[in-house]
Amino acid sequence: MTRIDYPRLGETVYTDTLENGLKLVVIPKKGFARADAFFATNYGSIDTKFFLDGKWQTSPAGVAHYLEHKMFDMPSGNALQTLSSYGASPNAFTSYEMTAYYFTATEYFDECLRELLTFVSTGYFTEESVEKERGIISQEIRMYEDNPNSQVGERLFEIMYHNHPVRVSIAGTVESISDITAETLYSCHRAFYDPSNMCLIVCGDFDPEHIKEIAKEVLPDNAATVSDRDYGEAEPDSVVSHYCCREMEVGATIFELGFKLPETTGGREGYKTELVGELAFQVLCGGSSRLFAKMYSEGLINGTFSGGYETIKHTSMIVAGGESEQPEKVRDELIAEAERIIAGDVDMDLFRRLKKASYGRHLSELDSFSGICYGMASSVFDNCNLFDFAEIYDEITWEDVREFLKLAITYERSALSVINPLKGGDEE
Amino acid sequence: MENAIRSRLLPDVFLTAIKTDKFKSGAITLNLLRPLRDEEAAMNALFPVILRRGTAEHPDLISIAAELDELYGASIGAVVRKRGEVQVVGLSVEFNDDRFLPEDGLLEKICALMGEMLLRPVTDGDKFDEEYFESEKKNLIDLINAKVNDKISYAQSRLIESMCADEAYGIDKTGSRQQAEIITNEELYRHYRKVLETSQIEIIYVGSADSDRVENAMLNALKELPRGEMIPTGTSTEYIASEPKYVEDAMDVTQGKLSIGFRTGVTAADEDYPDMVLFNAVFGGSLNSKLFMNVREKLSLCYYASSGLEKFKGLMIVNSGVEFENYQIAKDEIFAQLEACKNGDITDEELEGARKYMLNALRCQDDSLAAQEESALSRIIGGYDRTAAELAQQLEKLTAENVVRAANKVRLDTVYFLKGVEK
Repeated sequence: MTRIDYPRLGETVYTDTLENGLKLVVIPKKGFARADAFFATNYGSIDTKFFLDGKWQTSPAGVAHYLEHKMFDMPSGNALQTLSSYGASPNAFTSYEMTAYYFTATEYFDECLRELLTFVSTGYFTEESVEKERGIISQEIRMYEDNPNSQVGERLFEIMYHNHPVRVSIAGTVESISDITAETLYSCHRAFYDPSNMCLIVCGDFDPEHIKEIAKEVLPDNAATVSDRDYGEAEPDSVVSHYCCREMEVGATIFELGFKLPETTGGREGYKTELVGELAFQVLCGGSSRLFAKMYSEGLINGTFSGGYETIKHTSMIVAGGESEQPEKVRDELIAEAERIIAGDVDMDLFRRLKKASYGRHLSELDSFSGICYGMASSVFDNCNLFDFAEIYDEITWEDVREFLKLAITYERSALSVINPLKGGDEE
Repeated sequence: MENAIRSRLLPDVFLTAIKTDKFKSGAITLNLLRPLRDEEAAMNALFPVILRRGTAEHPDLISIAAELDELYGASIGAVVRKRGEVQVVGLSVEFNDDRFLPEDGLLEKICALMGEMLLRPVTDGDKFDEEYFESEKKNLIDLINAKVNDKISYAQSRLIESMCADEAYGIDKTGSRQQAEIITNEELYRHYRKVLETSQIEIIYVGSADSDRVENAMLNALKELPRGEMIPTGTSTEYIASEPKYVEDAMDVTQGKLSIGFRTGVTAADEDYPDMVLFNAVFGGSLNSKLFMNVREKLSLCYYASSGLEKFKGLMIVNSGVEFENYQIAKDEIFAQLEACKNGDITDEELEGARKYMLNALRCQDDSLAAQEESALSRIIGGYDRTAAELAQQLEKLTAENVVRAANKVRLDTVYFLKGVEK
């Protein structure tokens, strides 16, 4: 395995790509009782259209998430219970771009890792078990429907995107999952759960070679083909609508504001864009910005205000949200502030401070095992290295931030999703 | 947690320093312990957020933020927690460990900022800065109003409110809206000065510095702290058993939220607390638990169904989200699973799964800054010495009999259901 040392961060990383194409990363952590393994496929809710068995196939919205639920089924029982019986805490999630299975353990780590690699590689679905899960997932979807924070975000993507599948919620709807069968799950598993489309991240006090041996022993020797995907027509810069609003049982108006941006290049350059985007957000309206203090003092926002820069295949965005009685004014303030910063003099002192703070925050994140695993898996799929942030920060200039703000923060790119408290009487 | 040192800095002011070099960061919390009371709960929730707005040396958000940026993005927040019938309010900071930075002395600067924030707010005579007071009072009322947004936690707080209506525990950690609305600036400032004087203060540090270094930095920061007669805090575990209560609310929701409250009569300070911990894991506290396996996996009634213990007051709460029409079935199944525990209908798999789940969780505790802080504070407030490692040792020895004994102590108190509105 290749060893990379990060003396500034006090971390070492071992990486390798197995013959079957699996990307393997081991982050040794001395002195911790806990160890985490995170096995992820580069397949999420947006990958609904793909090429398999000589033809293009379209799967129903929510299938990646449905598959995640059913992956734990094994001919011998349920892997969730097997892992739990070793005392491990297993879980899984589906995002727009990734499906990940992971556990935290303090003993029987090898057994747990073998189980993790085995159950995720084994598609075992029966019509009966798929049917049974529908009730559980329907209740999960209902839970999101009652959650205003989920709703405000989903609504935002609906008005931001014309074609991009991110406009459909990750779990789908009770209707869209109604036709999912064992057959649907088998094809998606075959299309995307090949080692060459996956990565394994292990964080804990281990010999990296030992982890590699286990992965080689359990997983197939050779790579199969991974399906091509189609994300629909190229997404224009424009949004579908600049504003949407609905009423729900909330105590105060909540909003989410998005600025739609082009996709990043991936690789180290893409990682740099991500860090520039984050820094630009901090400069514009982060906790130590002039605008944040102004809006907070005026009562336009409160402590719930937060946001940042996010990338998803074929798109990226600045998103900010929270509670406010005047979300449109928040949007206008952000746009005006960006114009002011772009036109103004360089505040080198502010820029230096914010870089220092961003660096420190990234350093703190290395204390979280789950944060490292997720960040590392994302960076593996984006062909970059999570721990390079220290070096990249040194390269970022004020001009990078200014260019970013100039491109990003415009009314044309903006979309605002609002949820107001019920006025009583008729909804919608 | 053997590396924890507790020392007395000033009268009724204690520092617990937990030395560890595992982390890139360190954490300090400064906690003022108050009895949970309706007349002061909202005030206790309010004054720390005003302190966070500005100090004599750093008079506004911008200057505080600039200082925190210079401290490598350290974060400082106003915190309000409820632990049993004790309201814990104060400040919490997290900051990078000197070892990974090109400069030293971060800890001293952090402590100085905390002291400054606690003791030297921006004032206007005998009250807080009027603008800060008004805007944070509004924020507090907004926060209380926004509790309805998260229906799962809303259902649980409505349950607690109904269940403990005549007890201090029924008061929410941020107090009531009614109390928040009537707070005046003058009254709040007087209260804040009194709180400084009369509260037991517990400072918890987790990080790589020696206890002496933290002690010196904190003593320096708290030089001006006024001290008077301390108001004691504690949690009453007494209650009058009565017929179970059934409470319902209707709201515009698509899924019903069921929340059931039980009295366990057992707190973390009790000798048989480990029994209760293991019982809870068997019943609804883990992925192998009876609730997860039956209410979710077997009957497909819900996405979540779990139980959790409140270890200061001695409660157990069950939460689940179900279709409105499945309310009765879900409730019956939850009670049936509790009966099964009481009758000793527990398989080896269930028992061992629950035990291993708890052992794993306890062993992971020292791997998280926040968990170490919480555990140290809990032991002080709960008045017990048992560490996570000791609890783990005790759990190893328990049998199904212990679980049955614990299950039979549990008494149903209140069933709460948040249902939809008829359209």
